[in-house]
Amino acid sequence: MSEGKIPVTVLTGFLGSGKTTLLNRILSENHGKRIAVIENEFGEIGIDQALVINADEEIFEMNNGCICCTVRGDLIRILGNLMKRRDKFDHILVETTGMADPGPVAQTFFVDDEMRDMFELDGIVTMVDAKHVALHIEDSDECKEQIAFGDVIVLNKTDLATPAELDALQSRIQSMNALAKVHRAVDAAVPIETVLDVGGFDLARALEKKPSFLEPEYPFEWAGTFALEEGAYEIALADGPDPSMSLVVSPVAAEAAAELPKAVLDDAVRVWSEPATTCSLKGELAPGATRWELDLEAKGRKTFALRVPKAGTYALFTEHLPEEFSLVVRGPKGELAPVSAKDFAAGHTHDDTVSSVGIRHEGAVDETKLNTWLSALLRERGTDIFRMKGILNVKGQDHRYVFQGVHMLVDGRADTPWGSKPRVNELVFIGRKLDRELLERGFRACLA
Amino acid sequence: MPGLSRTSAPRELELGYRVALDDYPTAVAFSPTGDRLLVGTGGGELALFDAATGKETWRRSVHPGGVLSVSFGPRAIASSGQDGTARIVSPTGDVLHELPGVGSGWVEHIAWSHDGKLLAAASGKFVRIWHDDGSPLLETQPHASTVTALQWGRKRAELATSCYGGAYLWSIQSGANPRHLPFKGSLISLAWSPDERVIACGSQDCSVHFWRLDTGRDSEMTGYPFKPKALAWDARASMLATGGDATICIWEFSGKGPEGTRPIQLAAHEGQVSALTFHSRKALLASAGQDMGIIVWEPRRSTEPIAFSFLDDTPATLAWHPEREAVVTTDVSGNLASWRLPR
Repeated sequence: MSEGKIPVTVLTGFLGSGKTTLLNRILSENHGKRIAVIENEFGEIGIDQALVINADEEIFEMNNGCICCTVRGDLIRILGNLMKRRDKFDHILVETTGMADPGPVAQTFFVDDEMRDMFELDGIVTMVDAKHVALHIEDSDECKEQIAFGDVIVLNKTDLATPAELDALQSRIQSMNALAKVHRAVDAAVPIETVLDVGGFDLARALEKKPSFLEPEYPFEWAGTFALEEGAYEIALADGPDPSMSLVVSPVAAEAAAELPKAVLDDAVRVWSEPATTCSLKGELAPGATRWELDLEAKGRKTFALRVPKAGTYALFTEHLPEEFSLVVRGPKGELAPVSAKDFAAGHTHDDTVSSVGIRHEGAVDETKLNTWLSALLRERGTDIFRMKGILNVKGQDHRYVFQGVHMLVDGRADTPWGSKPRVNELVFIGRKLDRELLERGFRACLA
Repeated sequence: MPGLSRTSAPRELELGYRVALDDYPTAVAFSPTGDRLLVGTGGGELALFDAATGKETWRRSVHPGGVLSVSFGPRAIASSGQDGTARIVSPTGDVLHELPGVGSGWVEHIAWSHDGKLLAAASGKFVRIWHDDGSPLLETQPHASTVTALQWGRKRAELATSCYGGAYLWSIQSGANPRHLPFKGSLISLAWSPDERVIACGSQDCSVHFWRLDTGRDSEMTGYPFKPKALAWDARASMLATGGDATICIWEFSGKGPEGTRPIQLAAHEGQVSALTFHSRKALLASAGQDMGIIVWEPRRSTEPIAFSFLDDTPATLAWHPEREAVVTTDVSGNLASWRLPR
C-alpha cells in the first residue's frame, strides 16, 4: 500500500452468496483493524452499526458518456466525510448489490482525484454460491462480470456441492478469470488475509508473492498416471469433437504417481514441441520422448496397441480430454483407472462471452508500438475489457514495466530490475468476446 | 508565491488568535451579528467561541460519528451529522430539538432561512423543512439522487437544492412542484447569487453550470482541471469566483457576460484552491488552497494578492467575519485562527 492511503475492498456477489456472512466474520474477528462498511442492501446485518454506513448506490455518468468515467457518487461523498472522523479507519469495505457491475466502484478510485489521493483500491472479492451459481453462470451477464472483475473469488457453500461439481465450477471460473485466486469455503469461513490486503491493484506486491502471474499454458489438456506391468496394453477411443488426437506416454518415478511434478510436465511440453510421429491402427505405441499422432481416419471406435517394456509408473498426456473421445487404457485384466489425473484444459476453453486471454512472450517490447496498440485496443474494446495486468520487458530498460487496468483506465510504472531472471512478457486480459489470436498478433507486432 | 517578489508586495495577514481544537473542523459559522463563532467537528462536537478573542464559551458532543453541517440563525444554532439527525441548539448550548433524518441516512446539509424562522435539512434524496420551534412543516418530493447542496433565497421563502440530474427551486409557501433546472451531470456545489437571479453549480465533471432564473437561459464553463467545489458570489452579484484549479477564475455577470468574456484570473496559489468566500459587503475575496496558503484579493482593483498567510496544515474551512475585515480559517489538524487585514 502506498504511504498513508487507506485500502478499500469491494465485496460483490449475488444475493444469498454469503456476502453478509463474510462481512460479519470480518467485522467480528479479532484482527485489530477498524473497518468501515458501506453497504447498499438495507436491513438484515446485525453488526456494530457504528461501523456500517448505508448508501444509495448512485452511479454517475460523466458528461462525455464514456464508460470509464462512470463513478459512484455516493462513495465520493461518504468517503470524503468519513476521512474527517476522529476515529480513523484502517480499511474500507464496500458492498455492492448483487446485480451491480463492480466497474464504477473500481473506477471511482482511479477517476476522482480526491478519492485517488486518499484511498487505494486493494481488491475486488467476489462471493460465489457453489450450489446455485451453476444456475446463473451461463446466462447471467452480471454473474460473469462479477467473476471477471474479482481478484479473489470465494467459492462458498462448498458443503452443498459434490467435489466433481466444485472442480468443474472452479475450472469454469478460472477459464473466465485466470488472474483470480479461488478459495473454497463453507459459511464464508476464509482466513481474513485471503480477502483483505490482497494487493489486487498493486502490481509490485502481486509480483512479490508470485513472480509470474500466468499459469503456463500446456499444449495437452489432460495427464494421468498409471501403474503398468511389462506387456501389451491398448488405448481405445471413439470419434471425438476434434479432428486430431496426439499423446505422449512417459515413464515417471513411482512417487510422481500421485501428482506429476513440474519438471515432468515441462519435459512433456518439450516432447510436444517436436514433430509428431503418426501411429496407424496397425502400429504400436511405445513410452518415451515421442508425441504420437493417432490416425483417426477410420470412423468409429479404434484401438491402438501400447507395448510396455518394463513394469513401472507411466504418465499419459493427451491433447484433448479423454472423456471427449471416450478414451480408455486397457490391460490384460480390462480397463485401467488412472492413479491420478489432472485437467489442463482451463486455458483452452473458449467462451464467447467472458474469458481470459493470457499472452506470454519472450523478447523486448517497443514502447511506442505498445502504447499505440494498447490505446487503440482500449479505445475500441475498452467496454468489453474488464481487467488487465501485464509485466513487460521494455527495450532498453533494465526494470520490469508493470501495468494494470480497469476498462479504459490503465496505470503503469517501472518496477524491480530483471536482474538475472529470464525476461518474459506476460499480459492477461479478462473480458467479453476476446479474440485470443488477434490479441496475440497485436502484441507480437509490438516486439522490437 | 510568485507575488512575493514583486514591488507591490502583498502584506502578511495579522494573526488575531489561534486556538487548537484537537479535532477535524468540518463546518464553521459566524453568528449573524458576528460576535460568536460556531465550529462543528469530525468527532461530533459543537463548540462556540467568542469571535473577537477566540475564547471558548462551551463545547459539547452532539452528533456521534461527526458533524456534517452547521447554520447560525438569528435565534438559534442548527447542526446536522452522521448520526442521522439535525439539532436545534440554543446559543447557550442546550439541545432544544432533535429532528430526525430520513431512514438511517446522514443529514448532510442544514440551513436557517434568512429570517431564522425555517430550517431546511437535507437527508438522502429528501429535504425536510422545520419551524424554529422544532415542529415539522413539510418534506420535499424525493430528488433524483442524494441532495448535494442547499441554499435559501434572501427575500422569498425559496430554497435551492442540487443533486445528480440538476438543481431545483422550491417555493415553500406555495407548496407547488419545484422548478427543475436540468443538468445531466452530478452537481456538487451550489451558489445562489445575492440578487437571486442566478444559480451556479459546480459539477463532478469539472465544469461550472449556471442558470439565469428570469430567462431560464443556462450556460456552462468547462476546462477546469479539478472539481470546482468552491464557488462564491460577491455582495453585488456581479462576480462569481470559482475554484477547481490553482488559478481562481472570476466570471463577470455585471455586463453582457460572462458568456463570450474572459474571466478575471487570480494566480498565486501553488495548489488547487479549496475554498472561496467574498466579504458580505465589500468586494474582498478570500481564498484557501492546498498549498496551505490563504490569500485576500481585491479583484476589481488588481489581480495581485493584497494580503496572505500560511496555515500549519491543509485548510479545512474559510469564512469572513460578517462585519469586520477579518477572516477565520481552520485546518485539517484542528487549528482555528482569526486573521485581520493589515492596515
